[in-house]
Amino acid sequence: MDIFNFLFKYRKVVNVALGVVALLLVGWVIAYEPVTRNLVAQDALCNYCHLSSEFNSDVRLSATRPHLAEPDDKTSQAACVDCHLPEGWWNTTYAYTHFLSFTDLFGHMRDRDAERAGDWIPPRAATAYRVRDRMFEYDSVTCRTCHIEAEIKFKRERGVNAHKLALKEEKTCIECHNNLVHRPVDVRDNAFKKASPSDG
Amino acid sequence: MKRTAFILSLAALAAGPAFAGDPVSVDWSSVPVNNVAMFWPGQSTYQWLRSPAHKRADLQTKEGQACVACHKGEEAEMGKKLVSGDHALEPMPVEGKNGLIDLKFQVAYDKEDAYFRFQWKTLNDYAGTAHPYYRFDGKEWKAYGYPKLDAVVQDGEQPGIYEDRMSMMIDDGKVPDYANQGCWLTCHDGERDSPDRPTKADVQANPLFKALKKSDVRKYLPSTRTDAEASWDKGKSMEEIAKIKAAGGFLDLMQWRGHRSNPVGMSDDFYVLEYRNSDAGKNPFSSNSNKETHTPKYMFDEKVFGKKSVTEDDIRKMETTLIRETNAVPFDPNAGWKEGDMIPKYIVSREDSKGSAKDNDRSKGVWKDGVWTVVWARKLGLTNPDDKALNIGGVYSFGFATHDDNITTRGHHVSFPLTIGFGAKADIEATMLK
Repeated sequence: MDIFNFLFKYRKVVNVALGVVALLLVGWVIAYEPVTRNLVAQDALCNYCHLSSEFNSDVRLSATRPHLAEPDDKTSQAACVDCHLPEGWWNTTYAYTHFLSFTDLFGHMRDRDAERAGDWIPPRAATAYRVRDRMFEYDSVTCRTCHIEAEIKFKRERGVNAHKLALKEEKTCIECHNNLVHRPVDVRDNAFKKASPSDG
Repeated sequence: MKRTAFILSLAALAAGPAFAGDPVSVDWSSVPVNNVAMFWPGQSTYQWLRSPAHKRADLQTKEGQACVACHKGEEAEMGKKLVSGDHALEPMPVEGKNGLIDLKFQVAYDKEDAYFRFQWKTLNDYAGTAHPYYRFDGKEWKAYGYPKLDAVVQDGEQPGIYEDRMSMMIDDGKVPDYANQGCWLTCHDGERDSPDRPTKADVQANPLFKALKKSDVRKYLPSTRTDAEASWDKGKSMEEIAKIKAAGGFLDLMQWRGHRSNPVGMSDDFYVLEYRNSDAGKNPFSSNSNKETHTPKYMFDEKVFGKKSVTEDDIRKMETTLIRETNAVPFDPNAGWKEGDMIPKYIVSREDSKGSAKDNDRSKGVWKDGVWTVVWARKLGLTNPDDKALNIGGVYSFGFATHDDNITTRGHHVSFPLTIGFGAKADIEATMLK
């Protein structure tokens, strides 16, 4: 009996099995991102590697200066992935490739030779530089997941003025909103420079 | 009778001669009034503004972004916050200090002169015409009265005594970033009443300050320093600084002073480059200290002033300025001094002022009902190498500041920079007088 006869003979069972597999697949496809963001890539997992370099008891901490996830809920704190992992099904994969240290959370392979070239930079600063570069490159996409420019309610006049200017100058969030939550790292010289035709 | 004569002579000086160019005789009712908000800046130095503490704006500030790009319309809020002491930028809050002063400003010109008129309400119900004195304690003449940011005043050891002032800082476009960041280019860590002040010995040992023969740090421009942070102690050579000056890379800084210039109808004339320098010549005030005898150099002429010194009860009730050509005579150590006698620390003279430092010899302030009204004329087209020449058709960046309520150095209320055009488009367009 060849495989086709076998499948035909047990077609009802096979159909049920295929249905279950399809359902599981669809379920997995649907659940992949929320499960990854909410259950797999939890802060605890991120901190397994990053904790020692993120916290400094002398300066402000995530724990003391949370980035609120809900403006009206002072106890809600944004998770690491809220700011660092871009939304989207495929982007979710970068969580896993990053866990394996293949890519960053935007899917870029690390260029270790380039990272090791030039003057030595403290690892914490190097990390901050890389993340800021990605945020700049991707128009602060992770900020915009929650913060919709047109819906921002400004507390002070300076916010209104600054955002008006930023829109006019086509600036992105990270150019001003850096050093949030984490241990502060100075913005390096020549950060946030857009390429110009003269750059060759 | 003698006092009456003195008051009359002052009144005559105040009235001034009725000549063209007299700012008092300008019909100010025909000149539009501009409202300029001046707020308490605390210790918002050049270095602080470029540090991460200037949240979300340090990079932009480094790039030369204008203060008003974010802070337009926030002067009152910022002043209130900073003056309260509830901010790291104000470690020495002054009790009762207001965060904002609304300046009413008018500007006009004719073929010869620019005319300015300033009106602002003072915090106190008296004119700020008193200035530190030498006080006889029965044995010695000792300094009496200090500005309110000084620890001796904040600790209650000395009274707060200092003249009121109105200042203008001007650029003609040759100082990078001044049009955007104004006076904040000149305030730095290390300056008086600012963070990270060096010791007198440190300053005197620094090559630049040794060359300048100065023992404290005052306003300077970043272009005169060698490092990106524009540190006070990283001065360029005097040759390099001279080149910057020759290219016009300095700011004009002029101050009307309630005690040290107003009584002789003048304002001073300085410029900011590597230091806050006096213009060439002589300003209307100088020290009244005889360093050899540790006594004043001059005292009041009893025949004119009515008495040879004043007391604490006199100040703020009458003019107590010692004017060399009007009411002063050389100090007599044997004049029967009593404890509590006071003589001003400065001697003022219109006659002795000279050179480029004398350019602002037509300004006059009157305090009435809690408001100073200061009028001021400045010649157009000045050619001195330490002046910013104002010319018809030109647009200039101005910054204003007032020292109110017995205070000096950073204890002023300041404006964001704005442009003034003399026959040209600008934030404020001067009125052409016919």
